[in-house]
Amino acid sequence: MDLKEIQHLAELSKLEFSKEELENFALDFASLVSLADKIKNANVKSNRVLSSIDLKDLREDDVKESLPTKTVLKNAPVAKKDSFVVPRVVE
Amino acid sequence: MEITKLSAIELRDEILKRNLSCYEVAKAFIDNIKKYESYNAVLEIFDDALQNAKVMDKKIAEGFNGKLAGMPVIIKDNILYQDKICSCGSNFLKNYKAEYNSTVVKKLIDEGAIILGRANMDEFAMGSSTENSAFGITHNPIAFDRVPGGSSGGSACAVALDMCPISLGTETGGSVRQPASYCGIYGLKPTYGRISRYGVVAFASSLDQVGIFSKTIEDNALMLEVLAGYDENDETSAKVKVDNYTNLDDAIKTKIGVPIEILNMTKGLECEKNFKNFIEFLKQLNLEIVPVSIKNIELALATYYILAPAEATSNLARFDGVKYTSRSLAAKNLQEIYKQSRSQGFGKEVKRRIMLGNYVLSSGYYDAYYNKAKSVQGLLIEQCNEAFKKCDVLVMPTTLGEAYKIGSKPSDPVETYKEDVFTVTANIVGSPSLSIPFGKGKNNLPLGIQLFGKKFDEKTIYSLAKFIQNNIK
Repeated sequence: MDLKEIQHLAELSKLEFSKEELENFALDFASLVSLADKIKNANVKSNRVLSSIDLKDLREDDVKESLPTKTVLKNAPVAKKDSFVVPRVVE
Repeated sequence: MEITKLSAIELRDEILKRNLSCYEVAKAFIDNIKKYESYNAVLEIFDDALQNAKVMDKKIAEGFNGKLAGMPVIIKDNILYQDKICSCGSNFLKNYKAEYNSTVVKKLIDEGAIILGRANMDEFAMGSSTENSAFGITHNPIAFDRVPGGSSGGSACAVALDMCPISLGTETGGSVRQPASYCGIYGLKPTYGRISRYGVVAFASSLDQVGIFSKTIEDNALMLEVLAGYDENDETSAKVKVDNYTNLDDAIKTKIGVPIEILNMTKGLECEKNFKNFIEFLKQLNLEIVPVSIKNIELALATYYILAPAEATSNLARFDGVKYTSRSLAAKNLQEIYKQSRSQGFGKEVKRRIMLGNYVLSSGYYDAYYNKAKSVQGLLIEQCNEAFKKCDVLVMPTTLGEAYKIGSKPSDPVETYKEDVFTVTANIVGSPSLSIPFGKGKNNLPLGIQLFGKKFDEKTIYSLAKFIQNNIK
């Protein structure tokens, strides 16, 4: 995998790397992809996707009490007036 | 009597008979945590633990008799305990305080347990050695220069060194069973959905389960009895009746399945001889052994290392510099907040798995990797179901061999991932699996064997483990 592709993955992952780190990742990735590639040998007829839960078991979609806003905001790096604060996004 | 050598059930019984106070019990274990501080198993002793023990003494005097009355417990650092730090072994969450109690913590408290502290772990539970914690390496309780296993290495080490009689870890691909094996104790990964995951920081939600470490089967079974059950806050928790796990059956008629592929996979490994010895031992106990086949089990490792990172990528997207304590101070706009906060907060292994997850989910690769892995998951489920038509419990080694030396794995991450080769299948198919201590390796360090059961049939594996425990003595 080339550095450009690794850089693209970093962008998707919202991660930043130095050039040296990216080069190391490229080495790791060769090995990781060769492990993942073993799956290609599997003889599977259909691409069935399994769900871990039975959808009919889901509870009713009722509005219930959840954590108070103040509690949720306790761990926010910056919060103001019941909201998380981020730099202005729309000019 | 030496308090810290008693089992969890013995302690509770002595406490309820008023032969011991919760306070003196908690104090004895906290003294051990301090004594073994250099092992770095426990990241924090909760400052209200002794006070809570005193309150529990009063409650017991007034007639409280919870199933875990006064029992000291240590929890892994990814399980929320209200107002306590829950760092997941990560710099990103080093100042994060839980806003609420996880369901498991609520159940522990309701039954009278005293939560002593939080245990070290690989960052976000990604690792098999507890070398990946932002807060230092945890050491093996038997051989200081070796790893305790991971990712729940702190919880395992704590039980093995008598810092608590019982502890909680979490599993995604072996993170309870593998350290249990390396530390010479019992470690259960319950059936997927058996225990609520509410308030447990997610790694790969379709594979994650809370697990239990103990020195005896009875303690493990009692803890499962307390923690198991449906929880409306976790829609993946199962509406399946909770067995009376402490009332174990006679295991003499248990049929044991030996996967022929596992015999092949162990060839040349340190665990090979021990696994064969174990099968011989079962034969001597007059248990019926049948060969079974899980044809695609050799693909389980690749399947796991596609599915788990894919889910981790989504789950860890919430750590964005906006909601959970850490934000890069230098960031000037929202994109910079995301990238810089994550790049500064996460360690190398976490970044690697996020990248791998995005790779297998990205356009052009999604069908070849993620969907294919989901299909193989389906095959493995079918093959295990077929195998369980012929037997009640499957057996396999827990690890390749003994605990390895700290820092001894090569830089290629896949070499470390191979540690999980025998454990990931239980997570992929959702089955319960218990690692029991059995045999020793070439350096006289403990080895483990997995008893791998049918879904929601923890009782059969506990019964078998008890039968084995009684016959080893």
